[in-house]
Amino acid sequence: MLSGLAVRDVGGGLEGFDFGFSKGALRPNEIFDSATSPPARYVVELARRISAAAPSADFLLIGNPLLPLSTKILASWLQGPVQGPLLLSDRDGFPLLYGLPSRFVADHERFLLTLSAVDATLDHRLLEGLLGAPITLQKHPKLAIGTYPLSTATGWFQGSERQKLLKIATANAIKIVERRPDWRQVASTVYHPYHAGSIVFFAMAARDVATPLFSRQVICSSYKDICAASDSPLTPIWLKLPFLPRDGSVGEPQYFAHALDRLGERVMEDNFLVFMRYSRNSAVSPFHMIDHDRFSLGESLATQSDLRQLRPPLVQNQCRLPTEPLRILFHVTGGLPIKNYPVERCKVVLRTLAALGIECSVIGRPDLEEWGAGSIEADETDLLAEAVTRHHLFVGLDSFPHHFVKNVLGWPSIGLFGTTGAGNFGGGWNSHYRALDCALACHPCGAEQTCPVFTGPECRNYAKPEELIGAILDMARQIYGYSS
Amino acid sequence: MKILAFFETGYQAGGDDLWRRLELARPASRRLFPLGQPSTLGTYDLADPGQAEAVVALARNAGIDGFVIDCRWQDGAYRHDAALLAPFCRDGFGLALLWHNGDEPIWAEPLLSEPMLARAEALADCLSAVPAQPVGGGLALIVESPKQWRAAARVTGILRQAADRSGVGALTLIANRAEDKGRFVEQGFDALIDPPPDQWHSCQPSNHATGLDFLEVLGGLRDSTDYLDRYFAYLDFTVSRMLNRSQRGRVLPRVFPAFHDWLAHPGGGATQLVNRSNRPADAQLYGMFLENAMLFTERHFPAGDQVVFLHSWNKWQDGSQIEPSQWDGDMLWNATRDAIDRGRYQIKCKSNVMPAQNAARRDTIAMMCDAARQTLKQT
Repeated sequence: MLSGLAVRDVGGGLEGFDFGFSKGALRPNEIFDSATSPPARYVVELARRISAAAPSADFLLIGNPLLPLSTKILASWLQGPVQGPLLLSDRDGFPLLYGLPSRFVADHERFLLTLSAVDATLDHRLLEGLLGAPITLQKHPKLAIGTYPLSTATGWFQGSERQKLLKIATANAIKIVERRPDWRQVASTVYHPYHAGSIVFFAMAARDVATPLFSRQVICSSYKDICAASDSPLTPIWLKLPFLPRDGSVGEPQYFAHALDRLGERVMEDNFLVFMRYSRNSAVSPFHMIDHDRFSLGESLATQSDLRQLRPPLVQNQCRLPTEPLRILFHVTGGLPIKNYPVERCKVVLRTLAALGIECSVIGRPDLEEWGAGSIEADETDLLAEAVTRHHLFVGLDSFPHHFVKNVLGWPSIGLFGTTGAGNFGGGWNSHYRALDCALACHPCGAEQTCPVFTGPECRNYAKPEELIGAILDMARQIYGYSS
Repeated sequence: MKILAFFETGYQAGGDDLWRRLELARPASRRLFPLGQPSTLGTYDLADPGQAEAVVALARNAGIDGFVIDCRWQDGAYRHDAALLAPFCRDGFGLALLWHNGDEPIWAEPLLSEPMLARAEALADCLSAVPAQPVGGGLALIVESPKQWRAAARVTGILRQAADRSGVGALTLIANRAEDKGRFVEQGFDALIDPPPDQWHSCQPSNHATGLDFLEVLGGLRDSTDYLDRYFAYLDFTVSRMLNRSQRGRVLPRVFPAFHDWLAHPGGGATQLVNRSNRPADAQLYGMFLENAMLFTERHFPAGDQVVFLHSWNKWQDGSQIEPSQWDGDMLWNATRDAIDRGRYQIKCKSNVMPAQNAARRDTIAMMCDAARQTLKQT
């Protein structure tokens, strides 16, 4: 699926390398599957992997990651020995193959991230600017990729509207390279402005990357408090727009256009902008979003031992208060009925914990007070952080409070997962974390309105009260030595 | 976490000519899915070691740890085909057995008898030749019809003793039943396994035949399969199998990508699982079923007992095969490999977690939750 060729000497023989998107094993012929990485990130990764396997190669021929290719196909496209840098496109100008000097690729990784991978004319012009030398642009006379579909079997969703985002970023990069003699000093900037949970993941990923390819991030200014609390090393470029509505009323490409308008010409001139919202389906791999983002920022994550989910958490804390009484903070409201922890289960949990002498607080749910829980307000990040410190454990849904408490505060947390993937948004279990669900065969369905199986407004994949209470007591025992 | 796939060993030259029968099988209705035909591995002959090795290699490559092969009493002796696969059972790959005990009335007798003891010895001798993929510390023996044993506790006892004497060692006895209700584990079984789709309809069928349907079938106005067979939505069928699963006892999951056994039911009574767009298999839904079955098993069974059964590697006759086929290519094989990779990765991501509470504690919590539910009902 992800393929490339190494050329030992100009005009010499070829050595082929085929890779696939990893589903977890990260075998030597697999590449990490990152939903937030644009196609160009895979061009860079392929180049890295091929260079590592063929260090003496002079040239690398990298197949377009958007296409399901193999070395056999790539080799069949070449007409004679490779004589120099080239870009091969289909009949209509869709890039098929990038042929570049291996040294150039290694030295220009962060600039190559602005390749569109959907427009050969733009990519050709950008590459000539970066290389400072002519590059042969060849067209395959017969092959026409046609209209690239909205989603593909290999996990991409790069329909025509999304392709425009990539092209705009490439066009901007061309402008910088062609107009600014100091383009090598221009910063690389991540475009990933929303939403709250994703901002947390990106910040934690940036803290966890040794040598990021980026130094700045475009973020909605409404997330200033989250950025401050998350301590991302990426310098924010504040986008003074409300974040993308979650109801689908504004498309991501539409929003991107508004964002560029608002950011203004100056920001465009001073930044190689790379689109790093979702380009791929996050649910096809089991990796956590923080690792997805680490790959986007430049980590190769070639083996399982590189993954944060298989290492100790970056941050771990715990409550200093006495464990009598044990205090639990709940966040059980996900914004949409199907994302809420079912209210009947919630009542059973709260009543049972109260009977065990455990004090519970629930964020923003006064209706649950009669079941033994105090309702508190924590709609600002600092209020949430303060509330958390007054509790031994946090129990939350797949939403911002959970991601923030677990990852930024490092607090002992339990994640409740219904329609979304626990692997992607919850992650590995350790002393301070576990993700619960019922492992129904429909999980994760990603539904946002009603259950696609049982048709009701509640998700039956949420953990049963017994399981949740068991997990709370287990975690309290492990971290605090609590025994009721 | 082990993945064991049910395996048909009948594909041998000079055997039942299963390939030929598969090729000749024709559905009698356009609503029935045609049976697949093999592609990558071809119509292999398991008696040829080279071809058998290729089959095992492809299964291993998908992440499968072993096969479950049939064992039955036939012509005065217990028989299985472990010898065909034994040369390739190494490096973590091994076998388990499905014992078709339903044809043996001797095991239904209420009291132990000399013939029964002799039969147990014969079974144990037969099992001694099996290169096992250990489950729960022993050779896994799935008992297809455990309800037939009227003295199940005694039978499980003599089987274990016989296995011990014959050198088989520990036996892990698995009852082919969906729910324990204290009946099987208490009588010496180690676990249960979900029955196959034809033996356990885990949800309501999507076709509810009426008397009018019947009359229309008789009148030639309606396809008889609408009345005679049972159709199920694959998603409903599989979700139902995982719903409230922990309340059914120690039941190991059986995962299947598709199922339509019309070949075995020419007169009606077939079980047909149907996916969206009227397709026999959906790689995504099947992958989710397999991955979640692995995650459930990891959470609810002790480390050595964690097995998920795949139905099946090559049971082409009921449409459940994951071997590459001419229709689907390697879609289901890939889905299997991907789901196993995803499941194993997530299981690996669990570290430094203390063992869960003991059973007494769990029971107390369950009682307290029930009390809270009662209060909830009253209010």
